[in-house]
Amino acid sequence: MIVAILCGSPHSPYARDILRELNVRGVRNVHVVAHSRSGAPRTIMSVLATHGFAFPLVILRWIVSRLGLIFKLRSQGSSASAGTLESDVQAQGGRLVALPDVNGEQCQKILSDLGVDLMILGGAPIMKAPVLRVPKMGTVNAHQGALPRYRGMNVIEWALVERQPPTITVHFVDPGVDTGDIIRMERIPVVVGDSLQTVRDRSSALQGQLLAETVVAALNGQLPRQTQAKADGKQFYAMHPFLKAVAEEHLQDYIRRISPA
Amino acid sequence: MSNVELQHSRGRDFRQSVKSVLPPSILTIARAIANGVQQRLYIPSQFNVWLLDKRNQQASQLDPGSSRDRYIEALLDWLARAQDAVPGGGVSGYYTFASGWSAAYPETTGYVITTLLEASRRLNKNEWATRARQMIEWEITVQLPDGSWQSGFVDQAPVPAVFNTGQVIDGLVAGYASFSESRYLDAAVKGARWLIAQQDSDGAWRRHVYQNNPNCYSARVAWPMLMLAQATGDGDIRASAVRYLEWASMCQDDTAWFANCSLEPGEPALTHTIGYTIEGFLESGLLLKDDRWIDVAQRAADVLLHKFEVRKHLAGTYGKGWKPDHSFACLTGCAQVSRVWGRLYEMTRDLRYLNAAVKLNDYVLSQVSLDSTSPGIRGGVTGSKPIWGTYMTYRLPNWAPKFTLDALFQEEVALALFRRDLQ
Repeated sequence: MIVAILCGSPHSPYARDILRELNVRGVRNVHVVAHSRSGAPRTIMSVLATHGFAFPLVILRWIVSRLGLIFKLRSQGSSASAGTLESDVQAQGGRLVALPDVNGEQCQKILSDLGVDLMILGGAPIMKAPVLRVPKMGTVNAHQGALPRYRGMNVIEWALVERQPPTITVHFVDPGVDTGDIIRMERIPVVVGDSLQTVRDRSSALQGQLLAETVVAALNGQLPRQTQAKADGKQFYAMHPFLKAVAEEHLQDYIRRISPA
Repeated sequence: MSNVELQHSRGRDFRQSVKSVLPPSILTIARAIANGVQQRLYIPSQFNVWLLDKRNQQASQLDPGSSRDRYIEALLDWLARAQDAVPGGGVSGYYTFASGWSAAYPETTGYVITTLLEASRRLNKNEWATRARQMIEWEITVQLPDGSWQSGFVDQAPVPAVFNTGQVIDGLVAGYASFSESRYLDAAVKGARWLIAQQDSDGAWRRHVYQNNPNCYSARVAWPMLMLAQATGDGDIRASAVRYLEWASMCQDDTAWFANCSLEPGEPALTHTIGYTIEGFLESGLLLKDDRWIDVAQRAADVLLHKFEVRKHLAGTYGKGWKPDHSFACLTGCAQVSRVWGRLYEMTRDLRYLNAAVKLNDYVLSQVSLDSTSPGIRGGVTGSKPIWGTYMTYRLPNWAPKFTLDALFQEEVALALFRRDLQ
């Protein structure tokens, strides 16, 4: 079975986590297709036409953001194991392909040429139907909320605001937002001293493990599928800081409740 | 060819010859300088607004609850200055960069009354009630003999207008509730009788509306009529409002989009007029306890919520099929939509409404200057963000702080409910 990870950047730490978990479980030759966005101003003249006399500020802002990104990637690289996503992919016999549009025809062709059977979403943008149709067994994703109730963004926080335990759902991907068939669900472990950030970090690591386990299960037979109707859940959006503060408070309440006295 | 036409033709020839000689970049710069002079951007406080918009200042995250009070005070002070800028007790329509305060505007003075009375109650400050009373007395003096109120500014030739009359009724009904003065109710009823007389049998208003085109944003006329019907027990006024709602609801299509919602027929609709429509239907539905109208409002409000959250920006206009124009934001419309979401939270306790309402209020407030030296800018809200956007270009209309205050008052209500529900 040929597996590919589709991710939002050729430097995605999340994609590296998933790849590592797959390799640990003996799944190799995994390919990675990454969204690669240059973001550079097209021409000086186009910047000048758009921003007028403020153009030096725009150029400066772009340079600072690039420097920030480089610094961030370097610090991530130093804290994680040595190497890059590209070297990891090559080391286990796969290919890394960077594309400007992972929803485009080029991506469909590459996935088709690679003969991908199962695709994993590793932090990619919302995918459109033509790309999702290419992998024969479908596309799977790990979502940081209990589906169908919590779709969309910041769902760890939204669940906590509503005093629900943070949960991960592994599901098939369809063109809707987190509306595909559910494969499995797992609570995110919460421990004394946790904050929203540590829960999110732990969730990210656990998502990689669950996705790798899902691939292994797929190798061994059919994956379970529980359908969800669109009307069964809500789509949530980026949470305002005042609600995040409430989520943090509820997290601490939750920790107190589940911790032994 | 007349002399005037000849002169125009010579002028055109001259401009064309200049255009052919000068490179386009020089012409662009010359046009920008001329515009800057016209808008008096050489005044530092006005230049500062332009500069901040040019730098695309991002909305700051404001802590709801703690910092809102300063903004509420500043917005109210701006309205007070707008009232003091014109004689008689009405409120100046807007502050323009080019020429300062405009004449008083009967339509929007009408609904500013409602906001000031609410402010007086919430802040326990009589000053705002006193000012509102002055506005009501002024509105009564400018009521036309047939019972209507005019379109445009009070210094323009009076032309009766349906929408404007509805907004003054809004203020008069609020005034009657606060002061129990029967004159206020009498004037409002006279206005409503005129509205009924202008209505066609299918419920639409086609006379005394802009370009004689019926519109669905007069849902915000139906709402004050229903408030008046409630205050007087007048069945005719109530029936007229319902008849209109029935007609206007047919303007909504399967995507929740409203036809006939723009100021100019066939053009995309400002979020301002979309806000009027949604607010009108929602409040009418609540007054009538009729889910049909609430559903019309909620469907459109939900579309806007999704669009706002995905794009993190509410477009200045939306066309058919909700096609957006993100080149500017209509801040008045933002405030109106935020208030609607706050009301929907109050009704449904769906936190997504409160979340979006607070974010949108943050955005609007981040455009309000608390320390500008210009009395027309400090505490005011621009029509467009950026200031050169197509709605109320280089102007700060009085209805923008009014709707921002309404949104902030609604946010207070919603947050209080949220905190109560948490316990």
